[in-house]
Amino acid sequence: MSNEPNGFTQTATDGGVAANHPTQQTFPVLVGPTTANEHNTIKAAIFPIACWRVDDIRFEFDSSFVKPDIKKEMRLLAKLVKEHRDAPASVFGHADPVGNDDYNKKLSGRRTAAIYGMLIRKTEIWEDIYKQTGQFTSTLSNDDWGLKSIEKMLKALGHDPGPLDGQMDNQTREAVKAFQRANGLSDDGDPGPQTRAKLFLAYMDKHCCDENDQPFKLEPTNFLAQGADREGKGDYQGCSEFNPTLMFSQEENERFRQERDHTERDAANAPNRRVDVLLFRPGSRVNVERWPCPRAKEGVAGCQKRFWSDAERRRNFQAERREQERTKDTFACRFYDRIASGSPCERALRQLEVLWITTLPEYDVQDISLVVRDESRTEICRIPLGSAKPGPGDYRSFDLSALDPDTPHLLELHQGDRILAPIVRLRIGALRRKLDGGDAAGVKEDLLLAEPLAPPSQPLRGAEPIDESFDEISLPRRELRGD
Amino acid sequence: MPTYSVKQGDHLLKIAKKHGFADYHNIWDHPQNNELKRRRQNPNILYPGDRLYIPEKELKEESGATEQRHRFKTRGETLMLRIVLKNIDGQPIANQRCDLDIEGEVYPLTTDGQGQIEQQIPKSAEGGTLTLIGTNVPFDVQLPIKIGHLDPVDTISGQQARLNNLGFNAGEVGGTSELQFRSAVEEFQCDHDLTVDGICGQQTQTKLKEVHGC
Repeated sequence: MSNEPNGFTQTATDGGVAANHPTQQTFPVLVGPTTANEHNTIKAAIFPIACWRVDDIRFEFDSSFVKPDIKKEMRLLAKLVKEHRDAPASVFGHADPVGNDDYNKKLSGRRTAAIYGMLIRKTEIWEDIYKQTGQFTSTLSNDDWGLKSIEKMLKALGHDPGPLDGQMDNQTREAVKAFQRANGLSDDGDPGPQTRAKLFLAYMDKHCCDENDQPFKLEPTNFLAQGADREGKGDYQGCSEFNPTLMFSQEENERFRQERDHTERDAANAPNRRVDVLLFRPGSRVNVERWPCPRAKEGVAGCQKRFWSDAERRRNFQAERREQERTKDTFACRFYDRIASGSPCERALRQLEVLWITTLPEYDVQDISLVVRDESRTEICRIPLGSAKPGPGDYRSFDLSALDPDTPHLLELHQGDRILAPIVRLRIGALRRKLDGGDAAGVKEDLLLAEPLAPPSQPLRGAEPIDESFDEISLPRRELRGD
Repeated sequence: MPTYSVKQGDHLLKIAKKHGFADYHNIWDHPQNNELKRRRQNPNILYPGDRLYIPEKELKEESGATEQRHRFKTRGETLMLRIVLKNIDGQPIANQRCDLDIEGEVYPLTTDGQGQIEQQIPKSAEGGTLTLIGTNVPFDVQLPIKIGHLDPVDTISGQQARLNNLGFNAGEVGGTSELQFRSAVEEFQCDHDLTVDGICGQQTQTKLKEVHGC
C-alpha cells in the first residue's frame, strides 16, 4: 500500500479490495459556558478507519459457500488488520436488488456469518449454515451447501473426490477416508459432524492466511461487540439489498426485466453483491442492546427503522443510473450510509478499462504493475497486472473506481521500480461519461498509451516532464505491443 | 450608551466584563433587553448579530467612616464550563482523567460518575484544549474547545454544533452539506424516538438541547 496525500491507500485484487478510509474531519468542540447548571455533552462518534471488501465471485452463486480463491482477499485483510491492530471489526453483507428483502437479508447474513466464522475459526457457525440449524434453522433453499461443498473442500485440501456432483460415490468416499486418516479420525468414509468440524477447520486454515501463508485468525474480541452476543449482534450482519452501490436506470431495469436469461442482469448487478469488513477507530466498542443492526438471522424490521426518510425513492429505479460514489443516494439504510458512504470499498466496481495489449512476451506479467499518480507525481496506488481482469481480446482492465473521477491522474506501467511505459493523463469522470454514453469502444480507442513500450534495456523515462499538451482523452493513438 | 452587536464567541459575562460590569444582570435584566432575553433564555448562548442594550453604569454611593478599613463586595458570578463525556453507546465515561487547558492555564480534572468535569473559567476565556489521559475510549486524545461559540439551538449552526458534539457528524459548523446535516438530524430523531423527517423543528430542537445539556 502506498500513502496518498488525502489519506487513502488501497490494494485491490480481482475479487476485492482493502483500503484505508480518508481521515475523518475533526471539528472543534463548540461549547456554551454557564452561570447556571447547564453542561455540554461530547459523545464519541462511531466511524471506520479502514475497510475490506470481498466480491460476489468468491462465493458460490446465490450461496454463502466461500470459494478457495478467497485466499487472495484474506491476505489483504490480514495485512490491513496488521496495520490496524487495535481497530475492532464488523462484517456487513450485501445482496443485489433482485428478489425479496427477506430472502436477501438471510443470504447476506449467512455470507457474513460464513466470513466471520472463517475469521475466528468457529466451525460451529459453518455447521449451522451447512445443516440449517441453530441460528440458521430458517432454511434458504438455494444456500444448501450439501455434499457438493464437502467435495469442494476435500478437493481444495488435496483429496480428490472425483466429479463435484454431490454424489456419495466411491471416489468421494475414498477422499473422505483419506481426509479422516490424515486427521486422526476413524476412516468410516462418512462425513459426519466430527469429520466436518475438522474439514471446515482445515479449509479455513488453508484459505485464511497472511502474506507469508501463516494462518490468519481473529478473536471474537477483535470485533465491535467483542462476541458479547452469541449470535453475533454487532459483529456480523446482513444488510439485505438495502445498500447497493449501483442502481440501474429505469430503462436498464426494464430491458433486463424483459430478458428471459438474466445472465447479463446478474453480471451488471455483481458489484452490489459483496461482503465488507469495516475496521473502526481503536477503542470503539458497542453495546449489543444499542447496536442498530439486527442479527444475521433476524428479519428486516430493524433495518427499516434505520431507513432514510426518502428510502423509497432511493430504492426505486430512477430515470438515471445511480452510483453511490457519485450520487450518494443508493443506500437506503441511513446508519450504514453514515459509516460507509465515501468508503473506498463502497464504490460501484465499474470496469474502467485502462487498457493495453498484453502480448508482452519478454516480460513476466506477474512483475508488471499499473502505477497511478496524482499530478504532483505522488503515487496513489499500484495495481499488479496479475490482478487485472482479462478484458475482451488482449485487453486487461483495472478497477480504478476508487479514484476521484474528476481529478486528473497519471498512469504508468512499471516493472518493479522501472518505468516501462509512461504516462497517460486522464480524468476518470470523462471516461465514465463516455462509458455511460455507451461508447465503450470509443474509450478503448482513445485510451491507448501515449508512447510505445520501451524495451527493458532502455533508460528510464519517468523523470521526464509531463507533456502538458496531452489532452485528457484524445491521446495519440498508438498501440502498445510487445515484439 | 449604544447597543452592542454580539460577535461569534461572545457570551454575556465576557461582554459585561468588557463593558465594566461585574454583574451581568445589570445588562441582562434591563427592560430594553427583555425581548432578547425571552428569545435566547441563556445569556451565555447568544447569536452573532444579536443586539444587546448596554445601560449606563450607575454610580452607587456607600457611606463609611473615615480612617477605617471597609470591605466592599461586588456582586458577580463565576463562569463555569461543564463537559460530560460519553462513549459510543451514550454511557457516561466516569473517572476519566483529563487536562483542561484554558489559554495556558492547565486544570487537572477527573470526570465524575456522570462523566462530567466542571471548572470555573475566566470570563474572557475563548478557547482551550481538553486532553484525555490514558483513555481507551474512541476519542481524539486532544479535543480543541471553543468557548462561547455554541450558537442557539434554533439556528442551523447551533444545531450542527450540538449534533457534532453528540457524535452525529452533521458537517462543519456553518458548512452547507445538506445531506450530511439531514443524515445527522434523522439519526438523532431515530435514536430518540422522534418522527424521522430530517427537519430539525421545534420538537427536535427541544430534545437536542436537552440531550446536549444546553
